[in-house]
Amino acid sequence: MTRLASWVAVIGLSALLAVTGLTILEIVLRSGPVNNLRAGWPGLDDGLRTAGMDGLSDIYGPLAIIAVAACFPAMLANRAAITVRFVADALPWRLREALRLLGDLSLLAMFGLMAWWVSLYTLDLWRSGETTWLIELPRWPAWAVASGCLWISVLVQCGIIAEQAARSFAASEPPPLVIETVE
Amino acid sequence: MSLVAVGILGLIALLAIIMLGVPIAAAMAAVGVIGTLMMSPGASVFSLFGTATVQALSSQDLIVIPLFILMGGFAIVAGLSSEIYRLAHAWIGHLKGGLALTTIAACAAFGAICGSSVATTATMVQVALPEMRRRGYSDALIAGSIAGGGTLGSLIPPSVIMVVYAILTQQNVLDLFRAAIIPGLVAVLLYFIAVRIFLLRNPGDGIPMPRAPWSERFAALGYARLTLAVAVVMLGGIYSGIFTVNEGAAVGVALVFATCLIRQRLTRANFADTLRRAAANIAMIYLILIGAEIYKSFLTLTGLPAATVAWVGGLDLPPIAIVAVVIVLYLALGCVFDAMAAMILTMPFVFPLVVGQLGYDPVWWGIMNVMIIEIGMITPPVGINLFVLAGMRPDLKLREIYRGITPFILVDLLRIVIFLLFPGLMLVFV
Amino acid sequence: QDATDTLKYSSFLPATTVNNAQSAPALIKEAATRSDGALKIELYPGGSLVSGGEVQLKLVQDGVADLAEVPLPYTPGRIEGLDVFELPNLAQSNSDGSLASLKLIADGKIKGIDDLVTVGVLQSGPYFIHTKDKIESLADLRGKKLRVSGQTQAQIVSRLGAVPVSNIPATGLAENVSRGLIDGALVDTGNLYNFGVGDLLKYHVTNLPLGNFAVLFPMTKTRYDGLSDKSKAAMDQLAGEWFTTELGKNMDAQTAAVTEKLKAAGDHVFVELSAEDLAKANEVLAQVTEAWVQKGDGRQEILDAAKAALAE
Ligand code: NA
Ligand code: NA
Repeated sequence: MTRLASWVAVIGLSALLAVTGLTILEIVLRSGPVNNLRAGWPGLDDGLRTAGMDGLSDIYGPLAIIAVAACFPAMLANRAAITVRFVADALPWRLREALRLLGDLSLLAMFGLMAWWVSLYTLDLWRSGETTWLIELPRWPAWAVASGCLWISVLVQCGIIAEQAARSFAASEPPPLVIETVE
Repeated sequence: MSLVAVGILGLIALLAIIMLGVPIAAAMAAVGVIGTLMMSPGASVFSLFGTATVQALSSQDLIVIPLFILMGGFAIVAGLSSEIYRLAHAWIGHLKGGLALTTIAACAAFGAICGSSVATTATMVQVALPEMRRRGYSDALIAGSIAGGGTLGSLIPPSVIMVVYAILTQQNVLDLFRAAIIPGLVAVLLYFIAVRIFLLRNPGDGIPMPRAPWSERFAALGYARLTLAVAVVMLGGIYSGIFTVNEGAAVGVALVFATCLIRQRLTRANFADTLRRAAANIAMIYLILIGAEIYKSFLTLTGLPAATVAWVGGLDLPPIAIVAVVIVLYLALGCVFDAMAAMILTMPFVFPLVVGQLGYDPVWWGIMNVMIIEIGMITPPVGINLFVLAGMRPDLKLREIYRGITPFILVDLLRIVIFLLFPGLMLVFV
Repeated sequence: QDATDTLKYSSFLPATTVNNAQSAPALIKEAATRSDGALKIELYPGGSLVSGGEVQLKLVQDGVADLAEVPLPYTPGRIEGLDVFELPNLAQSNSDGSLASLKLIADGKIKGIDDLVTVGVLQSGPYFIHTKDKIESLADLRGKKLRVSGQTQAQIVSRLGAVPVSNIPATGLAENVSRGLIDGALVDTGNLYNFGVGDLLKYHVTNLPLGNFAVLFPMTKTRYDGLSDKSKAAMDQLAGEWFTTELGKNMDAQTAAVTEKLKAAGDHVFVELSAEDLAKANEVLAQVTEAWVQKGDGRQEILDAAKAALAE
């Protein structure tokens, strides 16, 4: 499960790295020299326009949506959601573990609702044929991928909950959780 | 029950379940949904989980957050942090308490390419701690200078938390970055002073290094040139109008990533590891923003923020006294809350009060807000920077960490007072 | 009398815009008066209910809000037809575009709007070119970086020889002008000060209107049908022509006020393109219109209908 989450994150954030490349391309395209080239060479101007080069930002919008959505499973797998723990940590171990289970369940509910409603939104986009602003790409595919990432998050969180349930109902105090410090 | 009463009840419930260890984002969402349903049973609220997610993920403003986080991650892989450390060491290592000063200066320089206080702390634990240990610095001074210096990661632009403030309050990010310049310099200066005072009282805790020869100083400068170049291209490009803030962040990531490639520092393992860590951080911020959006909707419907503003505005107190009270409350909140969470949670109440009602400058308050909640990162019992230190180096004793961090907290408070009394000082470059 | 119906009216824009500071309060007041207090409308500006322009229609459809300010260009393809007014040289003011849009809706020309009741519609604009540095003719536009919103504007700008910059939100306009990232923008003149560029952009082309921006103020049919008789009677009087007129009128007044303010400032230059330049511009802009018409079935019909409605 952790490996699945890692893979999703790696693929998603690689997409974001690709976005940085596109951004630089966009900066270059609107720069003075390129602009002069386009002015003196109408063929290039038309070519760039029909190639959708004035609408590059329409490509990185969807990529960014996917990139961020792909981060959620890794956060859950690392138990990295911001949580105040010091009160619970001062309690007897079974109560402490039970409260953690409660926290994990609440996260599951949240991600379940997010996944469900974003999936509905995706369907709605698909039916209505909504597009991006500049080059009129359909909007639903990016959200379909985002929904997929959210459903994977639900799956990952189920795994975390199984683990936490085992800790809560253990016969004796389980060893402390090794939660990697997230920098 | 009046709506405002429901709002107050909701706030109490929120704090209670957060204290029980429910993740803050989920707690805000739950209170938002249940509270709204209490006010109008059958209200359509669950769709907000979709709307808030869609809104956050498609926001063009928020996208600089993943970028600044990625840049910090790859800067470590590229070895930029250790070069900055070497540079600082060569130039100021010979002063009294030299390595502690070096650590602080390196934190400040790293802060110019890294957007977060936690990332800066975690980086400096790896770079500075072994060096300081080897030269016999006390654990207290090591911990204090790393955890305190780490807050410079958020205070010196670029800064993720300033971006969040700018988005939530519809301010210009660049104005905030510019306004942070003087407070950032003052912070470094005051930390230097804190080190000197600490050493006056505990002379055995850190010894000066021999003065580095000029050849080493320039060699170190040469080694750090790439970091300096990245910071200059990115921040220079942003301020001079070659790119937007988003584009500047993207250019920064691309440059740092290219450095990793050119230096052949990238392995499959550290690439995946960097992305995985970045992902956890990015998602954690987005999730709390999504939870906050759902909670905000409920809070708006109760009218509690407006009522609070009206109530405090009716108090017969001068504005500066009210702001001082707000600051003290934040310091208390910062003891138990993460900085980002504290800011997002309080924004609907505090911003309309301080800026709308009392008429303070929104940019000034943004930097004050960041400085105040960053103190929370180094105050016990919940100080994230301290946790990072203790988590990465379990051999550091908490008692030593607390002893070392105290002078840094004290000068932080002094800095807050300075900019509270002289707000104009901050806005020179804005 | 106590209200029998309370409508939550969401706007993602600040409380200070003309729509939120004048038109919405007028609607709220009239609704209360004409329904004898039965219909209460509560305005939630600044995205205080939920922020973000692209989700406002969804808020109404989900029932989180009952009425919202929906910027149609943020969700292209969802409601089709009103984008015709983004074409250059059509609407000449806020009001005429808005009322013409209302007519297109009433005549059933607009797709994707069947389950909605149009409380009001605004064609904000027209947009004109405003720049920081001196321009006197079309030739001076060559290479100028102009902020655009949407595809049609991007095409317009690039056909005129300037460089469209499309990834800057309206809130980032002032910042990016002052840093020199962009040299100007296509802006609805009335909004120059709202976007903080009233003192930054000093050259204003006044005789080349470059299209409007469609904003819809919808309720769902279901919510409308659920209103009490008294509320519905009031809503019937206000929805459509009354509110649309109010929206257009207040925006036009703002445009006039801003123009006066610019004139009074003394250092602003109002640029009239020469007849020759206008002819040249209209020639290339006709290509933009042509490209828009070619893109979908029935678009020529909508364009003709829009022209006819404007002529009325
Ligand atoms: Na920073
Ligand atoms: Na703290």
